[in-house]
Amino acid sequence: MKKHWKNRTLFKVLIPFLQIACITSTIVFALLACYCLSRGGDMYRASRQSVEQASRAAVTKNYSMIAATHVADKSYGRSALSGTNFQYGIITGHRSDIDGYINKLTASDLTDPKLYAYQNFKDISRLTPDNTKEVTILHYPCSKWASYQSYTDGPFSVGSVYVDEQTVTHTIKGFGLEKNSRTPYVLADGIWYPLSEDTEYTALIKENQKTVFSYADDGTDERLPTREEIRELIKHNHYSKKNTTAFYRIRYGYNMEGSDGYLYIKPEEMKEFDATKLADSKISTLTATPDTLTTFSTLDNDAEDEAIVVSYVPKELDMSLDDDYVRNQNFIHFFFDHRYLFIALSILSFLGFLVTTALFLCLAGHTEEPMPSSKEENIRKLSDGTWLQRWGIARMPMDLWLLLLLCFLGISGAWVESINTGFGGLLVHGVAYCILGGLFAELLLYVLVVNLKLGNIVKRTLLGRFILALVNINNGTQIQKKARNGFIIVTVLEFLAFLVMSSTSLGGVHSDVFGLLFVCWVALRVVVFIALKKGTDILSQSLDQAVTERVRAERFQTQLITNVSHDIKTPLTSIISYVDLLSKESLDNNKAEEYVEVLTRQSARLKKLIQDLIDASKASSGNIPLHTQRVNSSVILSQAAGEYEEKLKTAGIELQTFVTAGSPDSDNPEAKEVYILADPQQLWRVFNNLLSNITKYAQHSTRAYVDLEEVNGRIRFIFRNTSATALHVSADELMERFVQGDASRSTEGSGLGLSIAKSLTELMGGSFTITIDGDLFKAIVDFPAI
Amino acid sequence: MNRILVADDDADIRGALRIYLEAEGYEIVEAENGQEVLDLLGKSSRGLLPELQLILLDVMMPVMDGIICLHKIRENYNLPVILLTAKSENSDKVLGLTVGADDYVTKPFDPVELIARVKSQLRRYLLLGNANSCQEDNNSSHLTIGGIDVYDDEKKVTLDGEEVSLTPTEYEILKLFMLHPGKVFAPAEIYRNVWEDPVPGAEGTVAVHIRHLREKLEIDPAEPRYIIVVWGQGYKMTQGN
Repeated sequence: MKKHWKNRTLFKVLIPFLQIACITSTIVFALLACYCLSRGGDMYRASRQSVEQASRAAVTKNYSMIAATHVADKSYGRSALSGTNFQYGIITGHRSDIDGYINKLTASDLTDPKLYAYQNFKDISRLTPDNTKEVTILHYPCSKWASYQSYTDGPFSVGSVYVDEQTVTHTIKGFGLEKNSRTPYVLADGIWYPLSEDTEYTALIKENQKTVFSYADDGTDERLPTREEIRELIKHNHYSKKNTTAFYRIRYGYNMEGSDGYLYIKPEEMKEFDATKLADSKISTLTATPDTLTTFSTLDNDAEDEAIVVSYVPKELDMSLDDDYVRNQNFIHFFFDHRYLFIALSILSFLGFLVTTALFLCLAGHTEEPMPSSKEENIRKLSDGTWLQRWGIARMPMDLWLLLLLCFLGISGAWVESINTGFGGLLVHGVAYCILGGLFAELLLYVLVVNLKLGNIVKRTLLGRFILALVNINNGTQIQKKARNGFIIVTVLEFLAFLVMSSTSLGGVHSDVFGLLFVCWVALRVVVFIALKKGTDILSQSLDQAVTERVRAERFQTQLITNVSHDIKTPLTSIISYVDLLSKESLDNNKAEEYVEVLTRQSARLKKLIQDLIDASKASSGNIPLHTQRVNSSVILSQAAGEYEEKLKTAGIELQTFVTAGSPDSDNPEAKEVYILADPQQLWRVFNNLLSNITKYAQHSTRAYVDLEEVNGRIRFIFRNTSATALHVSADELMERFVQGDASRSTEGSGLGLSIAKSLTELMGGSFTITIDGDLFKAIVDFPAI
Repeated sequence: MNRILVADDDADIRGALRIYLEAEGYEIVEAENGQEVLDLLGKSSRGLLPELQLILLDVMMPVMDGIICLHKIRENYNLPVILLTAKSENSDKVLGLTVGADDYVTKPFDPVELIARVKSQLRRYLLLGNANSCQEDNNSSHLTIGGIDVYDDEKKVTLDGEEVSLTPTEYEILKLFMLHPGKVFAPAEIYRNVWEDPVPGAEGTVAVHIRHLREKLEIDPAEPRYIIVVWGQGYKMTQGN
């Protein structure tokens, strides 16, 4: 048999891969086109020239940076830049207004070789202001701390110059005070370093551990006191010499991690000097920041030096040289020669993507033969004999898949941020991104399509399942409903608590953390909840099963009894008919007549027994269709009594009927009708059985009572009579099937009447009780009043 | 001489029925199944056999059962059919009457009741006219429902043409029913309408009178055809079947 294409494994494997390949190439080609076009300025008006110019400017910037960062080591980038089209000269020296200087330079002559610390122009005379287009003047930091970082590649990428903030650590050899500026200095390797402005320092005088003077405390003299001045202060203020100490205090380590504290220097240890009288080499221009008790650091401020790079790139490049100019130009030529091809390929592969996607949508889920032991909900047979199936990952809840995809997107955001390796890198990452993202999206699409095809999409999400479970509990057991309500209440309370907690930001913990914890907690309980529901479902299911099985068994029993009865009735018909015919024959034998009379009686009883058997079986199994309606209780009782009055009279029994329910009394002067809910036909059968029992079993020449009472909102029909024979059985036994009050079973009747009456009453929602008090037989049929 | 077709697969039952019915003066034709019934009916209608006046039809028979047979009979014939069956469920009775049976007797049958029903059906079929030649009687004093006729002038009541003697109270109750066929009368309503000096609370006697009335007018008072007990509500008169 030829397989339908949808069921071929080849297509199943091939199409998703083709799809991913197509979207990847779409993105790659589109990326290529966009990248090149956007770098050439306005994307729509990009020309070869503008793109080339952009590329050249980028390369010139990079080469200038290389040159500038090699100023400090005096190599001027010779090794890196020789053999390129880049001709340049470097102007060094510290200038305050570097942009102004450059403007002046461009206006004036650049042809003077003395201007440059280094230059390799082939023809310096070409650097006239007329050739400004070929001359580029740029300036970059050039200290020894500066370095060139080419963090990207590709024809348009521009690197940058990093300047390390270089600090040097020195060991403190001594402290000093400059007499004129009154600033503290630290000594290291024979050079004095002034303390940086940020450093905190003071002079203190303490008497008996109590600070009596600190520098600038009095506000009159803001200059740090010298040793002499301190001595004078002590003397002037009459501090007791014995208990007075004086010192300079310098804060260290305040801007560093780790320990910080104060350096205490006695006035004797503080060397005093005059900076003007020392050689320049002895005084540093760098400032000192004390780091620890024994060290300080200085910040190298040479880093701000910049070099001016004047470069010349001829319009016509020397194509024999292997440099970035040549490479880029070749690449751009290649791109511009093929740009329409790229765009066409991009569009084509996008079309391919659309087609493969459509094919994928068609074949998703189709299969020749479903996996064995698949659940009903996961498969569906199609008209052509093949199957739709949900298998493997497609069975995973869809919102979990969505969550995975979102996670991927989140991660890929960080991934995109980290891409800094230029155009080539971008391409590689783009392809990887497309393939990975494509796989994720493909799987999600597959899951979605299969679920859509098989239907019941709400059930395929965790959220949907959870909500459905909550809703379905309405038909569940009482326990399940309680659990659901409890779950909702607790979750709402927790949510409120979470809101309060997040708004107060307890203990400085971020509210996001609370949010996450809350979501995790609720998710955990959702899982527990679903598990619990599953458990109770299984429990109630088995219970249901047991009940239905019992009902089925009873129904079967009823069916059996009915069918057997029908089969018995046919021979019984002949027996009864011929016994009847026999009794009409003139038999000249008294005994024979007596026997025929027994036969007549017993065959009649058999007939009754069979009918009662069917009724009892139906009533006890609930296999009787009920037409429940409002029934006027007093009317039905008087009707029933009327039906039997004559029969009872012939049996010598006087029937007394008392209706107290609904009749006028002191509380309700108006008589009212009292109604109950019952099937009137079946209720008559109950009364019929009870009244016929009275005719059969009541003592001759006694009264029988039929009462109608209303007690606590319940209507009671009470039948009382005096039994003709002694009742030696209990009330419960009487209601059993085939039990008769008299042990001899001589009278007519099947012994099923009470059983049928009880079953029918209970079927209609009433209750049926029998009490026996000596010879008094009492049956109560009880219904709620409406 | 009326001819009755007895259809039953049990020969003994056919024999018993033959004895009972022949004792009443009917001529009996026997059939073993539904197909034979149809064949016999076809023959009699073509004049090959004398005409049949009634069919006693068993339901459970081989070859063709009674219900299907009845269905086919009713396509061509309107002679009375009494179903005779062991099936006594209400649903079985309703099905039989719906398909077109005129009456329904359950096995084991009471011979007296069976003969009464046969006579009743035959009288209605023959006297009241099989061609529906129901005499159009403009006399308002004559009321008729089913097989019951009330001649108010003569205070006479006939059931299937035979006179029935009723007490004055029973007669008044019957007349009330005959004037409003289908209407459900509550016992209290009947009491108010019939008794000349109604005593409140004595409605219970109505049920007794109606029971008597049923015993006189119905073949089986427990399964009435005309005066139906609507339990919990009252009583009503129907057309019979």
